[in-house]
Amino acid sequence: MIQTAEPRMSAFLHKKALQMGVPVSGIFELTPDCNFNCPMCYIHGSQKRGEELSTEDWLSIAQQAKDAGTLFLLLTGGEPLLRKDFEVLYVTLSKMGFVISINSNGSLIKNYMSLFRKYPPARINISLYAADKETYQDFCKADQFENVVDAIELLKKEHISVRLNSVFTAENYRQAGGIIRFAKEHGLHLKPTAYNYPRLRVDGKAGINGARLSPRQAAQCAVESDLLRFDTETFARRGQKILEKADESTETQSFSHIRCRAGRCSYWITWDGKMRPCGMMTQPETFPLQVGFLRAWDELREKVENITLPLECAVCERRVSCPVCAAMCLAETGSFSKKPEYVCSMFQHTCDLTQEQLVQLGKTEELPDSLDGSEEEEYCEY
Amino acid sequence: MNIKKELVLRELMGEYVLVPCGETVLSYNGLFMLNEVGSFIWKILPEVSDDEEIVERILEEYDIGRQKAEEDVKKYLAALRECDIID
Repeated sequence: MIQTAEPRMSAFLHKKALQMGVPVSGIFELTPDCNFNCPMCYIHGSQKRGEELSTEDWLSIAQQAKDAGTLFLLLTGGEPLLRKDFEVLYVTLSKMGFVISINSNGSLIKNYMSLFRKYPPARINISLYAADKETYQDFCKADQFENVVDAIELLKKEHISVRLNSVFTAENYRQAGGIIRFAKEHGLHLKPTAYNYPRLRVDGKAGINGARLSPRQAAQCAVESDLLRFDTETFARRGQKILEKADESTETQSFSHIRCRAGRCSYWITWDGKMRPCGMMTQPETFPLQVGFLRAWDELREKVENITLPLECAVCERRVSCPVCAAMCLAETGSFSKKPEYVCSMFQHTCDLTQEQLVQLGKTEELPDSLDGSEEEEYCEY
Repeated sequence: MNIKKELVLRELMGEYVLVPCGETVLSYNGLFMLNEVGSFIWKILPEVSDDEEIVERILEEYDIGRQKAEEDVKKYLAALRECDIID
């Protein structure tokens, strides 16, 4: 009558939600404001600035989302802790029975420690873009490194679950090793990425992100990071998955449509109240405050079902493991149906570099899957 | 029966899920999944005083034999006690 297991339970509920079209997972982007100014940010710095949703608006959306089946909720920004009503919102949402995670830059955590002791979130994801004070300040335009490290240690001391998120750009990619070491020394899970989306939401321009590395540099950074993050066996297993190719029996139909959770069992609500499949897409969008949450969700699902991805990608022999997604197509090309050259090039380089490493490590023979489930797929949280 | 932990019962997609809330997240940062009878028991827990009363309420509500109900209730309450959810 009672079962306890995690994260299998989360995976089971997401799978069921995908089949049923239930919005089990939601992301509330509480504010576009941030006290940092990182160069690659996809939201902060937008010229178009209207009013944020009120406390009542968010709680109304939340109640309707709960009734529609939302269980997992990620609160993000900007910096969500900047909202003056954060405590009221957070406590109310916690008591409603959501499993809440928070994205934060960590600089304001100390102000909220008594709240988090009383209402610990399921997890706090802290962005860490450098491993030393000087680079951190240059990158984030905020003298907050020591404060953030203190906050991470404080959360750990209180047994609150913490994960580090990191993004490697042209400015900070040399910090990758230091950030990985920091995560290991603190016993923290790190979710890094060397891929930076174009800042479509900030300047409306597809394909441009002045802060990012070239596709080859980004691939190199990703592979070198994986070598530092994982032991040889794990790296080899992951590498072989990356190199997996489609064969004659691999279908193409599903690869021409959205395959992730976006708009199929998860959604993103922007700070001004638009519902989108994910935070990296500027379309399609629907309006839960105008038409009600459930209708907005149904409309969004229908629009997402009609999105067609590039034919070239759907038949590519690398389609099984390529990370290309609808958001990348849109952000890179301005269209869902055009192949994003940057992503394609980065993945080709990733495959080549991974192959080279596997040869050097003498790990070219097929390895069995991990038995302990420690290499379970990480889902995108955009 | 006294529920010691803060847990919110959610019903979604035909599943019954207990979500830890407040300081309970620190002692169990995950989810509890119940079946329909499990969720029925959860709802009546604050109103009943002992195992026997739970069994009687189940027999009133569901078409199930006494022995099976007693076994299931015993297992269910043991699981809750193991997680320190009830005394």
